This record gives sequence, structure tokens and C-alpha cells, in this order.
Amino acid sequence: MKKILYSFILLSFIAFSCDEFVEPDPKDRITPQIALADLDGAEAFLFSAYNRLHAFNYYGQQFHLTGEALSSNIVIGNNTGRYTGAVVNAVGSHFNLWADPGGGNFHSLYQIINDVNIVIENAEANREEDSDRADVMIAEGRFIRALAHHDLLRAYSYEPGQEVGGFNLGVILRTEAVDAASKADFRPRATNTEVYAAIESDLLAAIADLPSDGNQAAFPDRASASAARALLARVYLYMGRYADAATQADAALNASSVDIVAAADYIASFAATVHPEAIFQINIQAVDWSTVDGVNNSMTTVTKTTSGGAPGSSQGAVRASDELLAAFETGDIRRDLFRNPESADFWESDKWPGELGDFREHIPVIRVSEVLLIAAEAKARSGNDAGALTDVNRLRTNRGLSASTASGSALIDLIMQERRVELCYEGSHYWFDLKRLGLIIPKPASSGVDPLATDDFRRLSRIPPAEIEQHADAGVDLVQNDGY
Amino acid sequence: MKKILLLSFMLLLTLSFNALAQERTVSGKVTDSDGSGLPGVNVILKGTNKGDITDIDGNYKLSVPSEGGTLQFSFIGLKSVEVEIGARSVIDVTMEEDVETLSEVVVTGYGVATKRDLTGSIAQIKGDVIENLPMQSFDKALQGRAAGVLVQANSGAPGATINILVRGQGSLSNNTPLYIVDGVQVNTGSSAGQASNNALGGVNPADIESIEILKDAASAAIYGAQAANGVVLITTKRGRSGATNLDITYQKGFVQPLELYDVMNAQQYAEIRAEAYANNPSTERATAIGLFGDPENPASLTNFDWVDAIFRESANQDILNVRLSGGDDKTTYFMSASLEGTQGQVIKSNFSRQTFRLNLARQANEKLKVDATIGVVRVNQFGSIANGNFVNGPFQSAFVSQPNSPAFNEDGTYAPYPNNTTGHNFSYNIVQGVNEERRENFIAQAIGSLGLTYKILPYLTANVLGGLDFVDSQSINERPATIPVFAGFGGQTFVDNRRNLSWNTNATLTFSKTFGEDHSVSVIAGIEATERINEQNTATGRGFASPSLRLLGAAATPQAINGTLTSFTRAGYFGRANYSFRNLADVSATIRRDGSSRFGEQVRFGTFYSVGANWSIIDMGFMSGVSVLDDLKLRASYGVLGNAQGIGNFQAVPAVTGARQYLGNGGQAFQIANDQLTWERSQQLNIGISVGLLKNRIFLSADYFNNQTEDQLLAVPLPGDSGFGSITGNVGEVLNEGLELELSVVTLDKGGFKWVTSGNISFQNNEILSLNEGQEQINPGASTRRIVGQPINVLWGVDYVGVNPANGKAMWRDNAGNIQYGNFAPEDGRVVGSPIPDSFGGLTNTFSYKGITLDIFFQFQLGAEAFNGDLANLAASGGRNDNQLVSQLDRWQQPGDVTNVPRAYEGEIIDGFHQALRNDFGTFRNTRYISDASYVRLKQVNLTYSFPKSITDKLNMRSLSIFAQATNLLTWTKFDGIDPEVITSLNTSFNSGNARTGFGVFPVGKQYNAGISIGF
Repeated sequence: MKKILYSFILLSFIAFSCDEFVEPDPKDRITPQIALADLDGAEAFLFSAYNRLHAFNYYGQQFHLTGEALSSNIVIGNNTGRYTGAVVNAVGSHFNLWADPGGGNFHSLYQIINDVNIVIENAEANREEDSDRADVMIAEGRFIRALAHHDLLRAYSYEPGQEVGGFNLGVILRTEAVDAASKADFRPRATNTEVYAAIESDLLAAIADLPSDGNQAAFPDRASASAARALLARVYLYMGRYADAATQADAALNASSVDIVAAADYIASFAATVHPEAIFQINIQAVDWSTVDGVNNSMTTVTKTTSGGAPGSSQGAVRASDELLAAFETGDIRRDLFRNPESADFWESDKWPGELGDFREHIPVIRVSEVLLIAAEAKARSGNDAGALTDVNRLRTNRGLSASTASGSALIDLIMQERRVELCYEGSHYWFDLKRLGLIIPKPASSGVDPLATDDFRRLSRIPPAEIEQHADAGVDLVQNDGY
Repeated sequence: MKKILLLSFMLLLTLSFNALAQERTVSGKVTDSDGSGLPGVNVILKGTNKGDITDIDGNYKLSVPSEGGTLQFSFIGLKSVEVEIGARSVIDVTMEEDVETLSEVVVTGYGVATKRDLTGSIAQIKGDVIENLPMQSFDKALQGRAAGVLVQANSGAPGATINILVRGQGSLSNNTPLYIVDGVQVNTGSSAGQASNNALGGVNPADIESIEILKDAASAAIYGAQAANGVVLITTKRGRSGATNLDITYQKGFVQPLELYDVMNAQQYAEIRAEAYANNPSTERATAIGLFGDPENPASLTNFDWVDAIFRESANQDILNVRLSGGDDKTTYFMSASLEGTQGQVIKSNFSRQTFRLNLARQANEKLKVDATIGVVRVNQFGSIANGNFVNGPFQSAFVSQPNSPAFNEDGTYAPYPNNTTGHNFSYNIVQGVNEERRENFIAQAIGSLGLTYKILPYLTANVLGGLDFVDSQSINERPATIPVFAGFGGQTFVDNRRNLSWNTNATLTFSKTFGEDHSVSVIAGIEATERINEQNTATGRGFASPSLRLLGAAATPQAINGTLTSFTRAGYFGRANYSFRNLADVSATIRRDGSSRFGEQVRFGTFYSVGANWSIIDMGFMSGVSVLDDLKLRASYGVLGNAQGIGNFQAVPAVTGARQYLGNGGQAFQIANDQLTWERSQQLNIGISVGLLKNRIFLSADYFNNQTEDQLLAVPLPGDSGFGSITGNVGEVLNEGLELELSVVTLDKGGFKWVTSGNISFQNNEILSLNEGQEQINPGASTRRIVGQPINVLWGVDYVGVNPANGKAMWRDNAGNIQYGNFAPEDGRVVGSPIPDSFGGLTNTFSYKGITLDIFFQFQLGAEAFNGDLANLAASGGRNDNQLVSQLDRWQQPGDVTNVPRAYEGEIIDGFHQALRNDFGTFRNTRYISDASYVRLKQVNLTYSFPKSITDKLNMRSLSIFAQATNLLTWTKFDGIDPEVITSLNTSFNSGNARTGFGVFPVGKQYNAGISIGF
């Protein structure tokens, strides 16, 4: 009998060693030490960052169209609740890039920034493995970081020199990896010039180490030196550094292997799986989307009423405004991208046809035509009308239009007009152009909404109110944009 | 750990064959009033520690002194017997049922007790109450029947999950109680993907003998680490030795929807759309007429009733239960089989289940008893899409589909939807979708246990138990290319295979002894280990040559694969001691030390405990003169319990997971972690009193509880610019206190007519005492914020003032009293309500006369508010492509109109302001869509007639009864949705404590059943 009692007592003692039994045994994750032990591990975060660029609140959809709706390029097609706030500039209906909107293919730009910050720190830490490879990875990371910081800045802040009431705050600058809660400090916004300085420094470093188009095996799906130059040209344009913008744009055009397509090839170029003018694009594979992402959130479903031959399955939430259609000169081949299969006044764009099937296509972020127009604008604004005319006419003659002979402010107006029609439905350029130049933002006559004055608070997006409150709770003053 | 427990099994088996010799004995047989042997009776030589427990035949054998002595026979539920031994060597005893205490045997953790000995608070529901209820899982039956237990359906779909809260919500992360079926810690939640499937449906409710809910520290602390949310113990029926009983019950019924939304017909819809288009300068009335028809010309309009096409007028239900039980001297058995087929209220929704159970007990020898249970279930479910605002969810689409666009062409084929160019609802014809999409679950589940009890000494018993709950499910969603939205990729098949295994094993040693006349002591010590493994593999294929070919193998394109495996383990040691002094007082103490794999290495183990006492004042000498009182007892307990449920399995492990890809290269994501993550600790105080009056015709019981749960497992927000949303920490404290009252009154008992009224009501107060490091709020800026001083779930909103009579625009009032059209900062809101009810309970009246019994059962919850998301679609003044509630015809039309419905305006945004603050849904709940979710529901009416023995004897039956019952017959509520009971959001994880909102949910239905029970 005692045997049993003893056994039980024994059992209890043995049982105290059951620490082992309650050791967690995860099969779906590895420790950071293993995951980031080499350059392959660091690069995996780069792939994550590239992937997140096609978030639906970013280049996957909303970043292309929000500005079009906030200005006067698109109006509501079918009322699905999408962009209904933005077309009437309802308070709070704006770019949504700051905090994680949550779930699926929606990401905060800061998640992208943190991914590349992890790449940059860990590529440096594993440099001895292959120094050249580490340099390229760091350069790609800095390119992406610059892109994200600049897009945040464009949405949430005034450009230097265009501040309303001297409000010069930029966005929060993140250049160190957050890999533990202790590093997730609450910090205030940097000034717009501080953020621009960081962007410039990232891009200059990226240009030095990134491969040329020809040496980038994954061109244009991954960053190249010409992509970084093009982006830097865009950044200088926003900073008002026109001479620098012209230099970088010309350098990008010279370095890049891609060229403007001829007018005859223009319409087909948007149905090509890789846009022939893309200097940098985001590659999307079928696995990147859930089975309903295409029909719910793709560019195709939002901008078209038909897709893949199945009538009605595409939402067609937005259509072109009368003002946008009127902006095309007679004979402009780009006007032929618009069709009205549904009804006489329902003009939809074929720029995003979903040519890979199920609403999917790769997404150009920088096309060579934009670089050409940056060069033209930068030259025109720095007094080089001849250079500007050469550039803008190179585009016009490949778009079914005659060469222009305009000069002075008429030339600048012509270039801005070209930007509007060339880059519509892509990257919200029209909105950002009006904003960076401090111009009144027109609204479609049919909207019944007054144009946005140069000091209208809705020119800037609202920083998520939750972030303001959380920072306040932590004792850090995160300043909300005026008016919100 | 596994090995150790296996070892202890073997140890007990081998030891059990060491028979023990006795010198001189008295023996005999203990029988019940029918003459059947009674196993398990305690036989004690009075005044000594010598004793025996009767075997399966009721036989006992005991060594006694050569002269004198008295034997005491005792068994729970039977009247104790004392017999002088005298010179006899054989003493046979008949024991009678103790009518007063029979119903008071309660199952406690790792044992049983009589209700009078309890120091803690345990609610009990007997199996006969729920036996014939037409419900798929037993948890539903707890609604309104146990004080302090709040039960809310998550969905009206047959077989769907249920939300159960024992004594409110003490945790900010998870409030799901621990469920134990015959000693097996079972899976909860949904076990399949294509329709909500309640894992607790693995037990046929008709097989249940009793359900005990351990509510306070004294009763639940034995389950330590996971007891803070309460423990629900389910005991299935066992056989009894004696004649073989065969019972057959069959019932048939039908289900009807509650009152559904009253939506517009084609003419009303055309009218309000034309007006909305005309009012918006960017749209024209003529366009609306082109799209939706001309309201002035009703003859030109076709009208289609989508609601009628989606909801069944009456859904059928059939339930058959067959039970066979009995046994001989050594072996008892209980076998049951059941078949159920239940249709949901919407077309295609149905549930069918077959169950089988075998509970077997064998007294292997004098010392060793083996008790085995196995329940096997197969479920086939054809579901609608989960609750939520989905275009292919019938509870959204049936109401919003445009009435001018019929579902069918004239030849009966499905018409393209919509018949205009609005592209409404992703052009998804919901009638076609529900009919042609396949959303099917197949579930096989087995819950089984094997227990060995070895009597080492009369007062010392060892017990080893092993149990498992195994669920294998397959969910299939087929989207054929015949549905236009899926034509583009040639149709799609999605297969989701899951395997959930939950096992636990424990070994206990129980000492139980009475010292002298007055002192009895029982002590239990044990060890336990448990593991739960959840595995899921899914695959999606697209592109089928024909809509009839639907297997994954026939897919042209492998679209996506996914696979996950996650697990946790927990292990601990526990002990409990009870001491009773006469009938006057009991004292108990419990301790358990538990470790969980979910926590940080340094803080993985926690110690939990409780102490409790009761005092039977009525048995004190000074009470002998008080004749009006029959019972008066006080109870008190205090303890600290744990909760580990609110977090994922690996949240304490800093790690990197695979995530995303680019150009075929796998990406990685950082999982930020907190390696100091540990238990939520809940300090629970309970004070109770029971009073019996007028020969116990009136019985009142009251319990006050005060639970303070600290170290809440809570997502602490990180700055969004860090790239992370939050990190789980142990922060904050929640107070959850309440009062539970139970009353039962024999209102009338005369001439064979008996009227018994019993009811319970619970009042609760829930309040966040603190949050992270002195923060006043968590989730600020969001509608799901947590605020110190407020209940854990609040609705944050701005008040709807009404429509400005001058211009028809919706007006709102911020918390400073300013009236505005919109543009509110989050801090302009206030707490406008809480979905946590102030009180809830149930009331049963039972009338019986001869063989007729009528039960009328009401269930209620009071003082709760709910946000009805459906109204965001349906109450938009005609400003959307969605069909609208008829009430929207009261919209503002001209200056001077006084109404609550704003002006019809296409897009709903007038001068930049959304008329329902829809753009701010993440920040505010709009009080226009909030209403009082209090309700009183006539939950159950049951009329039973049991035929008298004179008739059953002639029919050669043991018993015969017929019954009719109605469920959810009537509801009194001010709630503006379909069903105030089913208020759940698609984003609300099970019991997560987020504010519940209704949006496209499956309401419960009215159910009418009639049946017959025959016993042979």
C-alpha cells in the first residue's frame, strides 16, 4: 500500500519537472536570430516591403484615385460607397497611408518603412557575407524608404515654400528598425525640410549602389539606378529645386533602357503585361490576392464596368469627369483610352484593364513619360524653354499631337496640361501638382462643390485621430493638421 | 509528462490485483427499494476508520470486532442507515431515496458533493429540463435557466456558436468559460468554416444528465489557470443495473422567421431614388428614372420581393432519439443514437446530425472500477455566409437588393442582377448565389474518456482519467462559373480541412474520512496535463471546364494554398481539502499550480487558490424555536483564479514568420512579442445566503460577487509609425460585480394541481478600474475604445439631434452640446451606451395536474444598447443603391418638414457631410442607429401529457408521453433590428469583449415542435 502512496508522492515531484511539457512548440515561426542570420534573411524583408507597395490603400488602388476624386478628374460612376466622400471633399475622406487600416492587402506606409529599415540594418550586420550584395539590398531599401516617406509627405504636409500660415511640419521620420516594443517610441513630426533632406540622402545613396536597368535582372519590378534618379527628379520638383530636377530627369532618361512608345502602340501599351514605359513597377502575382481581392479592390473593378468578358462583375465605381475629357486636345490618342460601353455619359478608362486575369495586372509606379514631363517642367520653370519644348514635344508627337511652339507661362501651362492627361488615373498626380504649386483645386461643375481655396484645410489629409490621442497619452505632442 | 501519466495508469492496473486478506468479517448486500444492488455505498464501522464501499452488486465485506459495533451505510441521495451488528455475520440493508436531497447532488471539479456541503456557488441544470428541447447544442439551454449565466446566440443558424458569459465579463480579452464533458476539456468555438458550427454540438443535448456551472473561486479554483471565466461541467447519462430500458423520442417541428425588415417595393424605391437624384446637383431625376423606373407610372414597374425569395415560409425539423440503458451486477451501460435534420430560415441553410454514444461502467473487481464514455457525432451543414455585411450574405442582400430588378427571367432562369447599370451589390444575384454556391461543412467529432478508480483503502481512492476531443472537419465552398461574378475565372472551389485535437489526462488521490460523530474530512490531490492542437490546410482552385466539374483536381489553375498548425500545452498540480463539522459548517481550501506554454519562460507558472466556508444557521440550537424558517445558510468564498484564453499560442515568443512574396521569393514579417506575458489574475469574492420558508415551499438564494481581474491580457497600442499596431501586455484591471437572486415558490399545491414558479435575475456592474500605466483610454479615436470608469464595452458616439427642418440635413450634438452637421473630432463623442446588459434572467412557471405539465419560460435582458449596422444600408434616405426601409419614405422633403429621416440625396453626402456619419464609423457609433436592446422573450412553452400507468401497462410500455412546444414565440423589445438576441459583428472574435454590433446577422427563428416519447 505504501508503494502506491510513495508512487504518488514521487509522481508529484517528477511532475514539477514538467516545465518541459509547457515549452511552446511553434511550427510556423522561427527566432529572429535564425531569421536574420544572413543576407537571405534580410532580403526576405525586402520582398515583404516590395509586396506591401501594392496595398489597396497605396499603389494597389487608392493612391492612384483618391487625388483624382479630390480634384476634378473623376466622378462617381456606380455608387458603391467608394470615393463618394472624396469626390465631394467630405472631411476625413482623403489619402489613408499613415496607420494600418487593418486586414488583408491594406498596410500602413510605416510598415513598409519598417520592413526596409530591418533590411538596411541587417544587411549591414551581415555585410561580411557579400559586401556588394549588401550594398544593393541597402540601396533598394533606401529607394523604397524614400518613396514611402515622400508619398506620406505629399499627402500629409505642405511642400517647402507652399506652407499655409507657416505650417511646416512634415511627417514622422523613421530610419531605424523597430524589432522590439522598446524601440517603438512615440515621437513628434519632423519638419518638411528635415524629411526632404532624409529622402534626398536616401536617394543619392541608392543611385550610387543600385544596378543599371541592364544589370537589374528583375527590371522594372525591382529598383534600378534610373528608377532612383527618376524618383529623385520628382522629389526635387516638389522641393522647387528645378535645375536639380532637370538634371536628374535627364540623367534618368539617359540611363534608362525604356523609351516612350509611339502613338500607334499607345493604347496597347496599357494592355501589355509589362508596360513598355515602366521604369519601376510593382509585380502582383495571383497568390498575393485573396480570392475576392480582385473583384473587391482592384484598379480594374473600381474603374471599369466590365472585366474579363463577364458583364457586370466589375464595379465601375468611378468614371471620368467632363472636365478631364475636355482637357484632351482633338486628335489626342490618349482620349481613345476612354470608352462608354454603359451609357453615353459614362466614360470609363481602359488604363487598368486587368490583363493578367481576375482583375490583376502589374502596377507602374514611374513611367518614362512622367520623367520626360518632369524634365520639361523643370526646364521651363528654370528658364530653359528650348529644352522644355524638346521634351514636351517628344511626348506630344508620340501621342498623336502636333509639336508645340509655346513659350513662357503658356509653355508651363501646356506642360501642366500634358501632365494632367498623360498621368490621369495614375498616382494622383493632378491633385499633387495643384497642391505643390499652391493653386486653387477645381471641382467638376456637376459636383456642386466649390473649388478648394489655396488655404483650404482639406488640401492635407487628416492624421489618424487615434494616433494623435495615443501620442498625447504618452506625453508626446503629435500635431494634427489644421482644421481637423 | 505524458509518460508519467501513462505510467500511473499502468501502476494502478497492476496494483489493483493485489487482493487484501481479512480475518473475520461481516458481509451483506445493500439494495434499493426495488431490490437492485446498490454499488458505491459507504459502509463504515461507527467510531472507527474501518469501512468498505459496496461493489457493483451492492455487496460489502468488513472486518469487525468480535462483539457489538454499529454499521453506518451512507450514499449521496439516499437516507443514511445505521444497523447494530449484534451477533450477525450477514447484514442486508435496504436504503431509501432521500427525496429532499436527491436533487441536490452536484458535480464538482474532480468529484461530487451535496448541495448543502458546498462552500461555493454552483448552478445546476438537470438533464430532464433540456432533454427534449429542439436545439443543437446544450449551451443554448442554459439561457435564462442559471443565475449569473448570460447566454447570447451568435447566429440563428442551426448548429451555430453561442456566446456564454459566467458572471459577466471580467476580462478585456476573452471571457469563454472552460467546458468539460465527462472529464474531457473540449474544444469551443466554431469547428468549420462555411457555416458557424458549434464545437459543443459534439454532445447530443438529450444525452446529458446534468450541467454544473462553477461560478466562484471556491468551486472553480481546482481548475486554476483557466477557471476565471467559470467552468461548465457536463455529465452524460449513465446506465443503472436492473431492467433494460428502451426510450424512444421523436419530434417534428418547423421554424419561421421573426418579423423581418419591411423594405420598399419597386414604386416606393423608384420614388425615393428619383428624388435623391434630383436633390443632388451632380445627378438628374431623369437618370434615376432610367435606372429604377418611373414612379409616376407604376404599371411600367416590375416588382420583385427578394426577402420572400430568400426566406423560407417554414423550415422543417425532425429529431429522433433512441436510448438503451441498463446493466447487471458488474456492468452498466447507456447507449444512445440520434438523428436530427433541421432547416434554417433561409433557403438552402440546413443542419443534419447523427450521434452515437456508449457509456460503459465495469466493476472489474472489488477495488477497481473502469468507466468509459465515447460519443461520436457526424454533422453535415449547408450554411449561408457568416454574419456580416457581405454582398453574398443573404441577411444583407435579401433586404438591399433592388425591387425593380427581378431574380428570374420569364423563362425561370436567373436574371442578371441588377437590370440597370448601377452594378449594385457586385452584380450578385443573391437568389442565384444562395442556390448555386455550395457552402457545406462535414464534421466528424469524437469525445471520449476512460477513467480508472482504484480503492486503495476504504477512505482512500486513486483515480486516473484520460480523455480526448477530436474534431475533423471539411468545409467546401464552390462558386460555379454560372454566377456572373465568378465567370471571369471559370468558377472556383475552395476546400478547407481542419483537425482539432484536444486531450487531457489527470491522476488524483482522494482521501475521505469521518472522525467520530462530528468531523469529516476529505482531501484530493492530483496532477493534470492538457494539450490542444489545431491544424488547418486549405486549397483554392479556379477554372473549370464545366460548372458540373468541381473537384480541385479539375481546376485549371491552382490559385492558393495555405496551411497552419498551432498548439498549446498546460500542466499543473492541484489539491483541495474540505472539513465538515456536523451539519453546521463546512470549510474548504483549494490550491492549483499551473503552467501554460502561451506565456513567457520566466512567468510560465502561476499559483491559484481559494478558501470557502458555509454556516448552516438553521441548525444552530438557538434557531430551534423559529418554525417559519426551514433553511438558513450563509456561504462565503475568496480566491485568485487565472485566465490564459485571450491570447494567441505564441505571443510571448519573439519570432519571424513567413509572410507575402515578391517575384516568387518568400517574404518575412517580424512578430513583435512580449516575453513577460503571463496570466490574467482574477480575485473573486462570493457571499451567499439561502433561505427556505414555509416547509421549503419558498426557497430564496442570493449571491453577491465581486471579481477584480488584473494583469489583463490587452493589446497595448504602439505608435502607428512604428510599423506595428499593438503589443499584448498584462495591463489594467476590471471590476465585475453583481448580485444573483434565485427564487422558487410552490405557488399552489392542492388536489393534485401544482403550480411552481421559479426564476432568477442577475444584476451586474462592469467597470474598467485601470489601464496601461495610468492611461485613461485604450484605442482612443476608435469606436471600440476602452475607458477607465466605464464598462469594458461601450458605444462611443455623438447624439443624433434629428433633421434640420430648414434644409433636411442630419444634425448631431457633440459632448459640449454644440449642434453640427459633422466634422467631429473623436473627443467630441461620449459614451452613448453599452451592450452589456444591466440585468438578465429567466422565469419559469410550471403547472401540473395529473399527467399534464405546462411549462412557460420567459427569458430577458434589460439595460443594454446595441448598434444596428443594417440601418447603414437600409436607412439611408434613398441615397444609396440599396433598397430602403419603408420608414425612409418619411424623409424630409420641404422646408418646415419635421422628421428624423434626412433629405433624400444621392450619395448621402450633403455639403461634405455624410448624413449617417458613415465615413466616421471607425470613430463613432451614430446614435441614429443605436437602440435599446433590452428584451423579454417568451422563450419556451412546453405542454406535456404523460399517459397513466393503467394505459401504458396495457400497451406494454414503461412510459408514454406526448408533448408540444414553441420556442421564441413572443418578444417584447424596442430594438430596431430583427432580433435583439443576435447582435454580433463580423469583426468580433468569439467572446473577445469587443462591442457587439448587428450587421447582416442570421436572426433566431420561431420554432414549433410536437413529439412523442415512449419508454419500454
